[in-house]
Amino acid sequence: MFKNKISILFFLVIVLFPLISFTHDYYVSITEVVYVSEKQQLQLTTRVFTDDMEAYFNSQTNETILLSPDHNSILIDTLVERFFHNNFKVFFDDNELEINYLGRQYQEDQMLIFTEVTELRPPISYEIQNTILIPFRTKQQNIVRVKNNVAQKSFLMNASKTILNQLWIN
Amino acid sequence: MKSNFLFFSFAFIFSGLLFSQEETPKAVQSGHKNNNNFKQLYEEFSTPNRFRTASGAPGIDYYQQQVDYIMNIELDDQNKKLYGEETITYTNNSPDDLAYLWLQLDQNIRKKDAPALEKNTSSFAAMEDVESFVEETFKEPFDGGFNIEYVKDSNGKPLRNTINQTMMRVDLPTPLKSGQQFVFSIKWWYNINNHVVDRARSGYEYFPKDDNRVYVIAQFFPRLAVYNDVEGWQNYQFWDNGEFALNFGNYEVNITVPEDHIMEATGELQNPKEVLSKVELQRYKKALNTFDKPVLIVNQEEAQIKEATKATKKSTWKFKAQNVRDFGFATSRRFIWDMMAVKVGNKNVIASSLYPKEGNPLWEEYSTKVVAHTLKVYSKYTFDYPYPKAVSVHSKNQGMEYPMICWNHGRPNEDGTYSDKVKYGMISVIIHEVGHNYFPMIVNSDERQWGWMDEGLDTFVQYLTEQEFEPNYPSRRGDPSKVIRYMSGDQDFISPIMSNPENVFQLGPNAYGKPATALNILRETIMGEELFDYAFKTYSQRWMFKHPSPEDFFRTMEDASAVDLDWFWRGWFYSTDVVDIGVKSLKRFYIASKPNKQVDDAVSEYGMTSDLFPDMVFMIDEESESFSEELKNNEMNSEVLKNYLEENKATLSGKTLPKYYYEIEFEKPGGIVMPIIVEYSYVDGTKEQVTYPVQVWRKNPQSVTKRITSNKEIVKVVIDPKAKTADVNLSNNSWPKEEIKSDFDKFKEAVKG
Repeated sequence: MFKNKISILFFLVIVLFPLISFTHDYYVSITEVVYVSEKQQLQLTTRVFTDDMEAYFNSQTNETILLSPDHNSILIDTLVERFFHNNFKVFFDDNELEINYLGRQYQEDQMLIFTEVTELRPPISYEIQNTILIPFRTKQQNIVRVKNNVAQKSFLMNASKTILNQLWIN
Repeated sequence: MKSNFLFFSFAFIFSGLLFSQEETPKAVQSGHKNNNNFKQLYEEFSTPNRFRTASGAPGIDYYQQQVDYIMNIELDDQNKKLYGEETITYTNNSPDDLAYLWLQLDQNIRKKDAPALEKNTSSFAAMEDVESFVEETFKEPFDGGFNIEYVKDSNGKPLRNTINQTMMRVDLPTPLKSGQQFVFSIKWWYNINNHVVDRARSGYEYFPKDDNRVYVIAQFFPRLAVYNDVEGWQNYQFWDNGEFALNFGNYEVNITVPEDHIMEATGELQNPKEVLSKVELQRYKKALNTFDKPVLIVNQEEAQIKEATKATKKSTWKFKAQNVRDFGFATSRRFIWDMMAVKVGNKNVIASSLYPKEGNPLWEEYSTKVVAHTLKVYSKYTFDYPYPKAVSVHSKNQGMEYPMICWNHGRPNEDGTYSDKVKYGMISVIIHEVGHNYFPMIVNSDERQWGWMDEGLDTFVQYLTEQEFEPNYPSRRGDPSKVIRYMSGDQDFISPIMSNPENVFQLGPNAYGKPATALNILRETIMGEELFDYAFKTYSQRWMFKHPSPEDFFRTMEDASAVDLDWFWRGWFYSTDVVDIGVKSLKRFYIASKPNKQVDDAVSEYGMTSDLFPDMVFMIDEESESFSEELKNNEMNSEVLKNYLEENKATLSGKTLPKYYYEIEFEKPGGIVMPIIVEYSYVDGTKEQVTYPVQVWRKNPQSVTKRITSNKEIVKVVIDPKAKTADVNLSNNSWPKEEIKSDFDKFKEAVKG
């Protein structure tokens, strides 16, 4: 019946699909870490799902936290800044970088968190510690993309891999 | 004929110039296969046969099995158990004799020792909150799975059967011949799971305040697997993620529940007088003929009163459904029930909703209306909804579809307030799940193999339905710009739509978003609405109440439109390539009186001079070394051209030479070929959009050059100005080059300002 090896291969493998037909049931964050050599700056953009952040903040307090629209923007600014500092750390050649929180923005169902480090030279090696929504979401996956103007590398971090050690990209 | 000779020799020389490069000895190149973007999909598709034609339609020998069920079900509310007994009539319409039948025992993924419980990797995390740790370490497995009491033939004789996890093989006493029927019975029971605590497509939600449950029940009976010409027996295990391949048939299902329950199910209720109170029956009859807004059969107050009762007497709801592939039902004493009639084609269809009070005020306001809207729009694009009804059931964290009934999330806060996100999330999921009646309940594709065939097609029509529900509806999927982030993401974490890698990441975009967006692009940009809608309708109607495979869809879309689409399926469905088309350069050319230096040099090699040329028009581009500023001033630099125009004035009927001559070069760093949509902006402020057909890429997939003439100076060129092609890289979409700011840069600028 199958005249074609490729067809057989397709039909031999199980399809794994999300349980629900609709909502996001995968837990992902993406952090882009971009080194801009002309400015000697490290620019970080973190994307998380807004409803995950909302659920996380609500789990930490009895108060009801609402995001997008924010029930209390200033309070949430503080929460997000603290959240980021506690859960994302960057080390250049064993020195922890002081990351400045710039702000945040909603884009559809995601929250973007903007942070930066100024007056920075590229290192020989670097380390990233990423515990975004870990252990709050047991299936949380955190993608980290490290870029400069020559190359880029992506990494998948999660509860089993919260620390990343690498030589600088080239 | 000296001039002719000169012409031909010139042409010969010049054409040589075009193609010859520096002749240096090269190493022998290795060959390659046909990698052309427009290669037809002969190698990927099965050879057409008498079951499925090359046209993409059911063939002359197309067959499908039919399986009918007569079931008696009892729900034990107190003990959360379901008891069932079924008589199955299996009709073998295949040309083959069958020695055994395979049945699906989906509840068995919840058996204590189910392999599915161990299917995922697990590890000790660096840290875990204490509650999860304890739960994980001390977890008692749920005692789920079917407990089969008997499998008997129509004479009551036991049938030999073998259970392999979620599949059961029933060995037939004699092979079932082609065209014959086999009748047998099964009796079983199982423990119903809590679907909120243990995510599942069915089960109950427990409400501790009034000690009651809301049941959404599906996959509750041993049911036949599909046997067909493409798979033989579809007999992959149910791992709780892959969905279903199911047979059409007729169902008669009697369900016994506490008499204060309200129920909806697949099929038409046969005995409303027996199960509804007088008042409910009156309202029910009224609803059947009310078209403008839903009629409440059980209102919130009444449902709330029932929460305290817990009837001990039982009643039996009887349903009959024709030509359905599955059966689901929802039952609870907590349900509010509303219903209205909808005109679809020349029939009346019932739209109804079941929801506990936790769904209000949202559900009373929107659910049934959204169901009605969905039926109308989906019918427009495919076929008139053929079933008698469509039900939307409120269920926490759910979004799941069955014939004529579906479970949908959307719960406001306890105080009745809700965000836009909850509201639109609910409307979208209702549209999506009701839409599933079309794909895969009626256009019955194999979900376990090809999730995109129902999810992708449904999400696509869902997008059209959302846009018609409300102008500027915040659709999450469908618009090409929304799929860019996924498609341009790390290749390590994305897979082609048409493949099943072991660890498919981002399944939502993979099976829902990307195929839906691809179809949207096909409709709006490649084929146009008229050709697309006709082909899509043709596919839907060819395969309604049948089992299509992906090729049947691909072939039909081409067959009914005469638009070659192999390149499109290959790029969008079979690969993870991206769209990235840009303008590489825009060069201005001028008419010159003599040729450029390159031509001069070449010609002199042959011992000729350019004044011996027959009548030629010479073009020099502004970047060449032969270019001189004075070319810019003289409009009519070419005597030859001027004379020719004079001599042929009569036949040229007043046409004048364009002022501007350009050569534009397009590049394509992305793998997918697409038509090139270009917007030219002129110095006088006017704009013009031109679309070059995708075939421009057929010989050189990296570069396409176009010759343009104009009476107005071009000041700007933009590729795909309305973001219709999911172009992942906008930095090369403009001439002059425009810097594209990252989200980070845009944010910083906004903050500074």
